[in-house]
Amino acid sequence: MKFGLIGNPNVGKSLIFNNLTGIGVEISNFPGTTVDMFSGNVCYQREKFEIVDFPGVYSLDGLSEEESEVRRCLLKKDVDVLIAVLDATHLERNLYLLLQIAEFEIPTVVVLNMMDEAEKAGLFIDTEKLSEIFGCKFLKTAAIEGRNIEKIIPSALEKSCILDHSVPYDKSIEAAVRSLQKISGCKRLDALFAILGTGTDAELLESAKTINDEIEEQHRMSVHQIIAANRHNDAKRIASEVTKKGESAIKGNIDRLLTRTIPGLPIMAFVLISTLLCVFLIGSFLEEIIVGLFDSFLIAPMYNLGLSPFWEQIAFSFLIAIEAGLGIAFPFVFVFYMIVSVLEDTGYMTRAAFLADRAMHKVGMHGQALIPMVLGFGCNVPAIMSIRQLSKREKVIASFLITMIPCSARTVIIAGIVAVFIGIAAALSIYLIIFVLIIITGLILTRFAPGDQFGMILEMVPMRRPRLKQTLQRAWLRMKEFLFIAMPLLLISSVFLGVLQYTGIIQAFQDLFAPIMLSVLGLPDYASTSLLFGILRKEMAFETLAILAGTADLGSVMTCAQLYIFAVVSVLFVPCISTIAVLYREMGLKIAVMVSFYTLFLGIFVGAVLNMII
Amino acid sequence: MHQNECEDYLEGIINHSFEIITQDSLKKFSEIFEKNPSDIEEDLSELEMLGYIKIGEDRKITLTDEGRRTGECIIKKHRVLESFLTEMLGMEPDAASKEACTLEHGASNDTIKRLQSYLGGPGRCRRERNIHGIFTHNNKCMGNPLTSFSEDEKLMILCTKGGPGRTNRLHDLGVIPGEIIEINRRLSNGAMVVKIKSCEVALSPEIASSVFAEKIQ
Repeated sequence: MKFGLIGNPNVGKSLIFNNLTGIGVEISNFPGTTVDMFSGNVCYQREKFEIVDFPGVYSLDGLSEEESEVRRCLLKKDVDVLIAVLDATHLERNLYLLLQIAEFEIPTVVVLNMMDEAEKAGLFIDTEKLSEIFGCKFLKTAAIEGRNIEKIIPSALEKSCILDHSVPYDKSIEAAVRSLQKISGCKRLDALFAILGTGTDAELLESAKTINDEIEEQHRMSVHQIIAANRHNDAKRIASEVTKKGESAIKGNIDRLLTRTIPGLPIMAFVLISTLLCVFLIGSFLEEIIVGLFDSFLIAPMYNLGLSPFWEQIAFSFLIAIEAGLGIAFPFVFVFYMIVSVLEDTGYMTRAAFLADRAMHKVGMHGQALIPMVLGFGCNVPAIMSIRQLSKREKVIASFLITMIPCSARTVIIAGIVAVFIGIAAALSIYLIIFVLIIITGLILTRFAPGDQFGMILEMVPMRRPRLKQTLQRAWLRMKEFLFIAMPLLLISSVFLGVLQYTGIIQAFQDLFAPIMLSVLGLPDYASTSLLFGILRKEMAFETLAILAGTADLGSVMTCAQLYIFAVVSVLFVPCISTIAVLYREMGLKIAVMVSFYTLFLGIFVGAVLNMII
Repeated sequence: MHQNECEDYLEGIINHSFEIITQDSLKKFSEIFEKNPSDIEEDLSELEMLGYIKIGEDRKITLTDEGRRTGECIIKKHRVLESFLTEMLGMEPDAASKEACTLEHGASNDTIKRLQSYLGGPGRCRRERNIHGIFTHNNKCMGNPLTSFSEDEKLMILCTKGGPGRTNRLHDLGVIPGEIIEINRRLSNGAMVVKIKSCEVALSPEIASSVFAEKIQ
């Protein structure tokens, strides 16, 4: 038995999913798609059931990747029972989706979530009447309080049934559906999809096309618009029949402050800067402890085992990759995701995205892209994974810009080398250089990136008080993406680089490039090896440099100019190997190669220019 | 004299550049209105009493501001109705013109405005296919784009422009003709937060400018 959780975005679906499944969740990437679906198991009366959490969708006949994917799953009847999650505070808009779900004729149980907020807003919803209209069970829940969550699975098992309500469509649509059904003998739903142009049967689509043209000519509205209007009207009718509005207990609205340019923008700048500072302070504190533990309890004992040089190299590469993952993952990335989760849970992120839209527009993107860009400050890998929701053109631009954003590992280089040996002002100037380069890159890309600029349509999440459990769950979900997708890549590539080093290829590489490094960048020969290690894990560039220079007091072996150039080059120079791998996975080989070469040349170019100036 | 008749006279005066009362002009008018020249002369003096025209000592006719406005308005209504009857309903031009003469007096300004926008759209001809292979709708919309309204205004959606990728999402969120929305926030570049079906949705300027609406009280 397989359950599917379906609903609009921001209805508390993921929270219900997490409450039902606990932490044993897998991220399953359905074959041939880029849409992530979470699946997990739930035990009820000693039986194991699988639950799939579909991405949040507004409609089942949309053209976005998520919507197409959910539609495909439902058409294939991938799940046995649907658990439709509706937001009680926005019943009308949520019923629009439920009316579409009904058309798929899959046994369903409906969960009316966010009852706590609906009660606060003085909304009374008559679930008996709803059950009567749809002929199925409606369950009132409040996922945040955990109210009635335990009843979901039993209801889905025992009380699910096919929704018995169909939207009264415009008579021309009904006629078209009937005639298509007569011509081809298909089902009502297939006929409907054919008229909407989202069907898969080519022959049916062809015959629908003619009817479609006629209807559009006659109504002077697109078929989608007519159907959407019919559904909205039906949803409105049902919602008004079952809802009673009483006294609302909700007062005031902080949005007055947050979405206005002043003081919204200063607030946004303050929030972002304090987030980064927080991450850096807490992260570097924790990182030191973890890396210290690793060095003394894993890496040192490994050397004492007396393995053969080849296996020692492999074991070292393996351990160093785990250390890199955990050394960055937990301290920086987790702290960062905690804060970002709080910002998302309170609903602040969507306000910031709205305000950032204008600035993002200048570099060819939209407000939605703010979230991936901000995530990039933690680690580029999850940031690139979260660009899926953007349009194709924005994805290309975002791939370039995100890989340039100084992630926490690169912050370590800037802080460890420049801030310590040269000064805070110099460290900040590196950020400035990078931001200017990001903006210039964005401005150039807006001219050349393929595709159309698509606007922003972003639902504002209502402002809510964050809950610790929910925030932890959300942060953990992101962490899981990092641990299960970025970490394996890191391990494989680390071992691969280890083999390269063992076979002497890296040494040959260093010999080849050392003269260039010296003449163009003015850096000592060991710096090129450090830079190469930086590809594996950015802050390793700094550590390797210290090892190769034979002292941690880098100021004694390199000049200030050399240190500064080294920091700038290693921050810009080629994204780390995990980022390249994720770019390849998400965007394909071409973009991954282009981004890598662009950053490589940009790093060397900027380094060379600095070398000439300083 | 009935208001309809007044309007007909004013229309005729403008259309036929009736500037001076002579035997010739009275005869011409009597043919148009199918009335006696003497009756027409009486009606003209009644028009002067009503303040629509002035008849000078040399029997010269000048339209007052009020008269010109009324006349021009009725001529516009006539043209719009006539073009609707001929082009959309396929009537013969003569019959359409006669029919328009009757309808023009009853049609409200709002009806005419809407009819005109409707005719002005590309819908008059077969629409062209856009790159998506699906019809683009209402390349010319009634009302004004959302970006032209200001904060806290209540609006009624009239139509949406653009390809299906953009409009389908808007339709799904409830942006369909007839829906009442509210502008909660509008930034100077035209980005806005609108309240649709009790949900707040942020729109970037290019999206906001592709949704057309009119203000309601």
